[in-house]
Parts: sequence; structure tokens; C-alpha cells
Amino acid sequence: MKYILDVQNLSKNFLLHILNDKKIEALDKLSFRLMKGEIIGLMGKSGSGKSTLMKCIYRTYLPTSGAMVYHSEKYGKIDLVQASDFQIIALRKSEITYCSQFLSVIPRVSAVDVVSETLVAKGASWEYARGVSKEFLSQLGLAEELWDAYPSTFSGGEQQRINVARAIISKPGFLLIDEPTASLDQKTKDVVIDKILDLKNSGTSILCISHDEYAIKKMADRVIELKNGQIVAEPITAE
Amino acid sequence: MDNTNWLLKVEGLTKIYGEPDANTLNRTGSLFNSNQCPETGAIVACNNINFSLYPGEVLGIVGESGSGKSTIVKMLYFDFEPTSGSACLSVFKDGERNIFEETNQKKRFLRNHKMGMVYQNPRDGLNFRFTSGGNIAEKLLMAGNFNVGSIRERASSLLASTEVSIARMDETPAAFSGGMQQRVQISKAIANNPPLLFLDEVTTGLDVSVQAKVLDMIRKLQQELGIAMIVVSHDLSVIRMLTDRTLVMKDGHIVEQGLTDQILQDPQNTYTQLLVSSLL
Repeated sequence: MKYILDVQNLSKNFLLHILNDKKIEALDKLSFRLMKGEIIGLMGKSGSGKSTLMKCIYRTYLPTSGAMVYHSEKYGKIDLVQASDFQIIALRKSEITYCSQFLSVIPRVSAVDVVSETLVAKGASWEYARGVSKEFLSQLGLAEELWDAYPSTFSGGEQQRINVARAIISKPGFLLIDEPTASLDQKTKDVVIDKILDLKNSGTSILCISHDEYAIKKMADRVIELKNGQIVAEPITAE
Repeated sequence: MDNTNWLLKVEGLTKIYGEPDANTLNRTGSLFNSNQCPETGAIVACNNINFSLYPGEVLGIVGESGSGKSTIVKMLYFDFEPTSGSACLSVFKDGERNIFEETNQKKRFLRNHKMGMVYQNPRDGLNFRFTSGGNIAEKLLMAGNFNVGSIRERASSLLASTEVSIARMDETPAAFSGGMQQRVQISKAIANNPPLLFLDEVTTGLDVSVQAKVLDMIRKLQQELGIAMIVVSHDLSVIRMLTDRTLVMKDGHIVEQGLTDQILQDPQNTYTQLLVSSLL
């Protein structure tokens, strides 16, 4: 099987100049591979470095050392540690999607348009994108009267669903997703899990942070556990 | 994905007010916490600014008041003359000419056909003696469109796209609210479909509901028309919502540049760390 991401000795320190150059060591020489079409579940306590790892891969954080060789369908092999801002922007537009725990969107844009946007950005028409988004939101159980409302006033669970829908709908080649099932009820959780599995079956490679053992058991092919910025043990194969 | 196809390339752009001496540039900047030369009193508004902008890209420039961010866009729009440096536009003479060295006639051509500018103060960008429609017509006329029917049609469609009531097209902007004035200014700035738009503190001073509307509009225009933009703002939320990449300025220098989310979440420079941790 081909791998899509090869992380080698990845380290990340934060140097806080405003606190007398205090150094925080967040990741310590991590190495692992993500195969094409695989789901790796990232587990570990709060503060173990899960989100830092994900943000380093997405380059929201600048890695301190190491390499992350990504196999782009469009551009070939790229070390995400060395890639230029311009290359990262191009990859984010075409292949790599990051879905954080928190919805952060422009105010006064309706829920349907927030979700549709990612499809439109990939070339779909608004009309088509809105149709797909509505169907998606209805499957995720978001009440129809909320579709035209602004998500900033939504509950945590409703925002979560918008966020997940937004990330999955455009079918990225590589998805980084942080706690997709937190604050969801069991029924919606199962829908989200099914959606993520559909995505995987269509070839998407996925790195998923979760504290939810039920979700990880259902989705992940392997689990990587982090502790103090290091991988605890060899990746465990989930049942 | 090569990065050779820039739309705008700025090199060594510098603006000094007053009488500098040979060491003025070395005695100012973030290390000295000042843009004023202690010997000569000259003010270094911008010191050796280098960056590229790509077609359809939205670039943010952030920094405190007086850091030199507005000066950059005002030089590029020919409002101020730079002390030294160059800027090339790929859509003008194959990007081989420094636009600052062109004749005034060519500079007017560039302003009218290739660029648009939205100022913080609508009075800088609009003529308050003309109607709103007339302001847009002015820009179209300068670009050589003399057909009254098509001008009026274009003006109404622009005002509609920026959600200004067409029924009020024949009123002067003086009678409009700040948010409406700003939207008329944006309509005027994009009237000629320029490939490059400068936005200088466009939402500063607007209340939050109007601000949201203006931001949403700018983003829609960017998505639909693919205009490259330079967004100058001291407001990090505006930068976060609109831009892909950001330059951080302090005392006339670029102290850090990078992906906008990286600048906001993993800033490397001392000043940027302070700026981001001051965010409400």
C-alpha cells in the first residue's frame, strides 16, 4: 500500500519571547506513516500534543525540525516542513482540509452557504452546492429552520455539525479532523462516523483526533497514542 | 504551483519623510522601537519592503498605527511617491517595468484600468458633490467608457451587488450612512474589473453589523471575480477572515510574514507574539 504522509523525527518547540524566551517542547521526534485511504486515530490526554501534531501537518504551526513528506496527487512529493507558504496555500485549496473543533466563519453568512462555500471553492455552482449541503445537513439532523440562520448563534452541537459537514462535503484527498463526534448525540454520531467512513472508502486518507473510544473503534484502522509529545507505543491496530 | 507567476512584485520599497543622512535607515526600525532617526529627525515610514502578490490572492498587512502599512498601498496607488524601490505588475508591459518610473499618463492608466482603492475615509475615495451613480460613472469615464446607457447599467449592477439601494443611486453619498458610503466606494473601486484592489482599513469605524456585511461582500467579490487584494488593517479579526497570507509591520519594517493562521497561532517575532496575545 502507498503511503500519503511520512512523518520523520518531527519536533515542535514554542519559543515565547514575551515570557523571557520560555521554551515549550510540544512534540519530540515523532515518526509515523499514514497510508493512502487509511484512518489513523490520534489519542492521548489533553496537552499530549495531538492538536499540535495536526497543526504542524497543516502548517498552522511551523515545525521546529524533522520532515513530513506528503504525496500530492497533483504536485508529487512535497516536504511540508520545507514547503513555501505558496505551496501550502495551493495544497489547502486542492487536497488538504483541516476541520478544527471550533467553527470559525465570517459572520452573517447562512449555515447552508457556510457549508456550500467549500464546494463552490472547488468549482461547483452555488445552486448545486446548496442542494448538496441541504441534503447533508438534513442527514446530520440539523433542523430545516436553521439552514438560513447564522451559525454564530448556534449551540455547540449544531456548530459542530456545520463544521464537519463543511469539511467532508468537498471530499478532500487528505483530511485532518479534530474531535468530529464530540458534543453529538448517539444518532448523529453514527451519521458522522458513516460519513467519514464513506469518505475513506472513496480514497481519502484521514488523521482523526478523538477521545471517543466508540468512534475510534468504529472508524480507525490504527491508533497512535501520544504522551508528552511522544508516541507511546507502536501504532496499535484497532479491532 | 511554481511561484514565478506573481501579479505584483515589490522590491526595496522605501519612504522617508524629512532629510535623512547615510545612516538613517540603520538607526530606525523595530530594534530601536522607533521609525524616527535620532540624528536627523527624518521619519522612515517604510524601509526596504519586499513581497509578491499572486493572481487572486488576498494578502493582509497588519501592524499598529504609524507602522507604515497604509503608506505601502498608497505608494502602490501613486498617492505618495516612494523614496526608492520598485514595483512591477505582470499585467503591465509583461512585468518588466518599474511602475514608479512611468510617466504620469501611464500611472493614470494603471490607476484607472489595473487597480482599485478603497480608503478608510469614504471622502478620500468618493466625490461628495457627485451622486453615487455619478461616482461610479466617473471611474468608468476615466477608463474610457463613454456610453451613457452602459455606464448607468454597470453602475446599477455594481450598486446592487454591493447591496446599495438602486433607488438611491441619484443621491450624493453625503446622505448615506458610513457603511453605505463604504459600499459605494467599493463599487467604484471595482467598476473597471481591476485585477488588483487595495483596501485600507475599510471596516474601521463601522459598527459590527455593518462591518460583517462589508466583510461578507468583499469576500463574495473575491470569490466571484477572483480579484487579488491587499487588505490593510490593524484588526486581526478582519485579517483572519479575509486573507491567506499576512505581513506584520512595525516601525516601517516587515517583522514577520507567513500564512495568516500561522501568524495568528504560532507567531515567531516578539512583536507579533505581543500583538496576537493582546487580541480580545
